[in-house]
Amino acid sequence: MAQVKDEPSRPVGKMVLFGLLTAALYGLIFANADWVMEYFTRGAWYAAMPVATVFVFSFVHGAFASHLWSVLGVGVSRKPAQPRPPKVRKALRRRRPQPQLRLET
Amino acid sequence: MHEAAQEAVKFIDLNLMAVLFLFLVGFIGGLVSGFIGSGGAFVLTPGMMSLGVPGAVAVASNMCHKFPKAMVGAYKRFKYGQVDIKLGLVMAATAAVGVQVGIRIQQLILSKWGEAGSDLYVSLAFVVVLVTVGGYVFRDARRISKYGGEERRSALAERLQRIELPPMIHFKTANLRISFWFTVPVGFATGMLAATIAVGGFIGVPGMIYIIGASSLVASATELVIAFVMGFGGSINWAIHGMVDIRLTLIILAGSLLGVQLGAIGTTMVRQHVIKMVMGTIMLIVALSRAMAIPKYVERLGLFSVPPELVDLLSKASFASMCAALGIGAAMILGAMWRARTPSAREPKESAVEKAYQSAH
Repeated sequence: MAQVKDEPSRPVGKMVLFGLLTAALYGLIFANADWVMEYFTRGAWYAAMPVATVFVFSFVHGAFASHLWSVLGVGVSRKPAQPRPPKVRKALRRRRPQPQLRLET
Repeated sequence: MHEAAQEAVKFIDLNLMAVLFLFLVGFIGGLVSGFIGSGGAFVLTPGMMSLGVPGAVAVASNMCHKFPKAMVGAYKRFKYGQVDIKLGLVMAATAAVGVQVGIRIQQLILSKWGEAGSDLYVSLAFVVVLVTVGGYVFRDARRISKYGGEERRSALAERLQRIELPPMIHFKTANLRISFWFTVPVGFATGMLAATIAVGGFIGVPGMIYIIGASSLVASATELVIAFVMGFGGSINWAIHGMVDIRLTLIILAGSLLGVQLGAIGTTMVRQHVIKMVMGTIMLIVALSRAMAIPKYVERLGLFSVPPELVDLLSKASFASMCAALGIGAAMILGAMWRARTPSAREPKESAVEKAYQSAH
């Protein structure tokens, strides 16, 4: 998905851009519905076509939807409801002092 | 094989009413899914069939919208730090096995008792599972809402987490450590239910909460990962057989991608028990709705006769209450989000004991 940051500023430009892209994609599919239905339902390796299509739509339309809610001001509470647990660093292995040979002079 | 299936399948002509219906149900289903981790499928499949879509195409097209919706929802909730990817993948692995077993059982019943027998089995599974689990979830949510306080890990989950049965897995985001073997039955049951009634989350989410010990927030978010994995596999399978009507899928997706993100945002605004409350309510209404469909299948099996007018009336009431379940769930979510706009609404309520103490002093 497009990387979207939940920021207080309202990303109107991004929303319009992704909105137009989404509308173009929908227009493309439905204007060629007969051709699309013929090829997308052939099965076997043609199965990649509908699966790839929904992925592309979810990236573009998903980004538009995200920006739309930001622009409409449907906000997220400031503190995350589920704080991530702090990362625990592994303790270093303690090196034990080893007995060493010494020459008595 | 798929050419033969292809010849038998009729793809419907779309009209404006059908498009609006699919978009709207997609949006509401998405809203509920984004909030409680699953839902929508139980209305969409019969809804599409009522528009004249063949059963297999309805299931396939619905599943093909489900996995990208779950992916977008999971991504959104991952950003809020609510998704435990490791828990999702472990559960999805055992759920995949559960799906296969569920399909085999379905096929066995279909060959033995025909379509009416299969429908009766699905309805009974719906009613038994949803009344039992949904009732428990709803009661728990009511208790928290009535007496205040916060969600606590269940005693069963606490006990299971103390049992050292290798391999032990540490789930970081869910903030728990439990034996892999205790996740297996939950994942397996999720898959079984998904193959039977198409909504595995009704077992998966409560299972993760009460047996594994994750919070409502993490459980409902992680369910989206499971839904994505299972839906992706299922969609490829249906697409190979040429059963996906991409037009229906994309119309539903248009609504559900808006809804799923709104639902995900909602989880950050409301208190955790609201997730349980919405889930329990939806489950109980859906159970009632499926119970109304049982006389129709009983009559088809010839077990006893029911007047045809009554069967027709119950079928209509069954579908209407399915839609009502989704509508009421969505209304509860939007209502809770609306009330949570003010910061004071997000504070936990004082418990009854605290109130009594304060009034006495």
